[in-house]
Amino acid sequence: MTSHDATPAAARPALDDPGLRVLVDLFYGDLRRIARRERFRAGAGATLCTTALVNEAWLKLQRTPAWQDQRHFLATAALAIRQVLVSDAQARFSFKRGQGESPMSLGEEGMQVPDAADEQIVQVNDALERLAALSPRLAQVVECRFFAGYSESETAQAMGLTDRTVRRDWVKARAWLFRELGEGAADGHV
Amino acid sequence: MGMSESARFARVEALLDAALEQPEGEREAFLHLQESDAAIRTEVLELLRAVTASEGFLEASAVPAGEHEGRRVGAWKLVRRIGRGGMGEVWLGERDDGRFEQQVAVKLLRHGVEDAPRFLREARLLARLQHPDIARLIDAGSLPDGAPYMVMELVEGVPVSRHCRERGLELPARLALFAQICETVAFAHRHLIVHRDLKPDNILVRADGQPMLLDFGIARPIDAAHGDTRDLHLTPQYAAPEQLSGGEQSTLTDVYALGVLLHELLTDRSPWGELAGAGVLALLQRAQAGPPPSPSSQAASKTAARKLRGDLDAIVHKALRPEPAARYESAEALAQDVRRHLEHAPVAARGGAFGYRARRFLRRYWLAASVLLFVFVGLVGALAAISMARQEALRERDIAQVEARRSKAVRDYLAHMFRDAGQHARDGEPLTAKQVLDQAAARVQASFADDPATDAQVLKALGELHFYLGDYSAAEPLLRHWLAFDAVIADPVAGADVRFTLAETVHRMGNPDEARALLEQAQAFWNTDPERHADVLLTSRALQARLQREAGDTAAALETLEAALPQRVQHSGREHFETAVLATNIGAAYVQAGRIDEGIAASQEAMALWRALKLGSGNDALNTLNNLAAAQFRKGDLAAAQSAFAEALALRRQLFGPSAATAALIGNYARTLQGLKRYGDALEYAGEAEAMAQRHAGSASPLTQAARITRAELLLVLQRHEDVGEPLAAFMAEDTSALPASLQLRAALARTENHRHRGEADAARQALAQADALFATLGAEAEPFRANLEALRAP
Repeated sequence: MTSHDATPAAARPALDDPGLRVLVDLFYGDLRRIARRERFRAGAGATLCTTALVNEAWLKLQRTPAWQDQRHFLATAALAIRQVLVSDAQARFSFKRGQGESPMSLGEEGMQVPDAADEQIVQVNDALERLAALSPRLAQVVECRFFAGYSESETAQAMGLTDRTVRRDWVKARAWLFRELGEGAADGHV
Repeated sequence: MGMSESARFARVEALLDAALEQPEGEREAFLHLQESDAAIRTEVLELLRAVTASEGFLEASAVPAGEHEGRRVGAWKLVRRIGRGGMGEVWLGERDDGRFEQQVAVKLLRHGVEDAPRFLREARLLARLQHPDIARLIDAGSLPDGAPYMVMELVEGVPVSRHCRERGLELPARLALFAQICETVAFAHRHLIVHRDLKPDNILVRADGQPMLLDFGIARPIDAAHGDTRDLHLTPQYAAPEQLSGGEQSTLTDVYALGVLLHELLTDRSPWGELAGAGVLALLQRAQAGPPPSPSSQAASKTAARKLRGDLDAIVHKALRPEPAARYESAEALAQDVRRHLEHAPVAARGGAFGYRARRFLRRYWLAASVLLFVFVGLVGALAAISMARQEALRERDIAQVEARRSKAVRDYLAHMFRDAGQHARDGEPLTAKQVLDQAAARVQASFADDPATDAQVLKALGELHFYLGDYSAAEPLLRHWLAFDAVIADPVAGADVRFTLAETVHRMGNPDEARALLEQAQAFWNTDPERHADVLLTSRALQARLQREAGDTAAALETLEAALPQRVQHSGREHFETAVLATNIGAAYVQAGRIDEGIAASQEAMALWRALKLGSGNDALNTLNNLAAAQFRKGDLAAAQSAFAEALALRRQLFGPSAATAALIGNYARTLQGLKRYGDALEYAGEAEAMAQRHAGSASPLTQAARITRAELLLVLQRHEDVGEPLAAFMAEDTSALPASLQLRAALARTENHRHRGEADAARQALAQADALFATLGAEAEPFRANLEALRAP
């Protein structure tokens, strides 16, 4: 009963994809800035207004042969955004808990104040690793929807699925994370 | 446990999928039938509960709808959410103070907290945008967490595209509706507001067929001030290419969106086909799409296509040109062309030699329609004239001539600008030119530090223009900004000029000492070569005389002006702008010296010069008229004074709107009404004068102070003793020592009367002693106050 449409395996970007590094570098500064300004104030989780970012990256990169494939680009961009947000949140979060030195430079912005949202990002990221072991596809849907802020149809495009499948997967993945993180995770800052 | 973890989860997931297809009450029974493993059943049931509980979890803007319900925002209470989008949420709001029933749309915006002050400034601009087809901005502010909100008129209607489809509107009706929408957009453009996100969802049509435009100017890039030009809120279907590539946006961006809208109204289809929503994917599709198909190629039938082929295809094509400069020059021009098609007149969009002629013809319309474009064209023109004059001067070595041309260029520019603003007075928008200048000033100041040499001319011109507009508070920082880069700019002629204008500015803001110092610096430079700088030296005599007069030396002031007059006539001729200015000032000086009849004669002479120069309704003629009325006032001919003041005031309000000079005129009018014993009316005008003067010239300025004293005098005569203390205290809170002695005398008299009425004998005696001393120093000018003073001297 697991029959679904096209296999998503081809769209799943590899962690050693050189293009991933390019996108992480490209997104890093802007994403942190936007995140600082816009994120979580309305308790919106990590879902940022990434449309403009991704669009701009696409405009910059679309003439590069490596990025001719929209689907590959979207999937890689989602992973890149997740990496940037998580490493940033981990840096603040671990610092807050006094677990030694921050693993990365805090840059010219100076000390960042960790907040409940950092904790949620780190927790969702950890839980997502566990979900990926059970169902890589559900985990990637969360990556696109939660971290990259893609719409249903964008996620469907990135993963080669139908909109309907994405919608159902999102409901299931969200329920799984909700149960995994405990009811408390959903309260307060979400 | 024969299954691997992932195989087990695949089973759980499949059961979950299947259970979700079942009605809610039957899911548990369904699971019992499908699955024998109790542990797996339990897990699926847990997840089913979590599906419900996690609704909204990890979602964008996943603020539970309940969170804002009942919340107070300004004077409004949020009732229910009526919309949600990239920019935030829209709530139905109701008056919370029970005073009257009003329903509004409250927008809670997602803009960054640090942008809130900028947002509020823009909201004030939007609040001025009053048009029957534009949803009114009622209020704006920020919530305790800093998030900005806007309160808008609640509009009930359906998106324009749906309205046309559902009512089955015929082509001519659709075109007329579209033209009306274009004209509304053009109205906003004339107020320097670009919509940036025009689309059917923002253009609702009410049940009575009236279109209403929403969300003007909200969709601007929020981070433009920080060099981030990305527009975070564009709608891919309607975005212009320059929006997609993060380029410069303008009124032509809206023209593009109107082009997409027209295509849609003509064909009931988007030129881009169905795009995937509003996100990245749709943007990618747009970025890769070729030129849009013509409307006729998308028509539903051959008959429909025939109607679109030709004119309408050409009009849409022209609105949708990727290069902004190739589009219609304005929303007005687009509306014009649509109306021409409706009237079966040839449209501008059809090319060829005729099209070229037609475009030239249309230029007339859009020049008149678009103050925005015109003022910038005008500014560039004025600057070009200035720099041309400077180049010629380098050949001719005749600075005086440059100065004359320079001031003529600025003056010509102003004259054009105000003539144009006057033509559009039907919309009641005398401030439009001012708004243009404000925007230009902000832009130039921002880029000035990077390239002072290039921007110095523009900054100087803008400072001068604000000064000429009577907005001294705006002129001052611009001119000081220029002087801060004096050494870098290294242009002593311009430096003297800026010092002179700044001297005039700070003088009018109530700072005579600095004015005198700046004037002396400027004159010292001009005197290094008095022949070359003869023109501006003569011009500066006016300020010199005014400073002398205000320091109490009326005789020296009159002498300065009278010495300048023959030189001026010799230098410039009789029928000349500067001669008229001087004649005006001499008239004023006579009046100040108490030589009223000579003052009236000189002012009438000056008015004759203004009329001969065809400047009878210009700024300077208005001042002359004001002086003439003031002289008639001093002579005691109050009826003549009142009609002259009323005439001048009506003209000034129409031409200039609120400014320091307008405040001065209103103050004078109030005093005339006071003389005619129309105290109630006078009090109203005095209050208006004080508020306007305070805003445009500052609290310490003589203008504001004079209005306060007039108000105090009126309150005394109206027996409103409890209110008199307020204007008198405000007056005394400022440094009054530099004010004209006559004003100080009036203040001392009012204070004497007020103290006496309150039974404060010592204070009354002190104030009276001041009045006596001032009366003695004033001489002839004090005569009108003799009766009042003697009445107070009596025990």
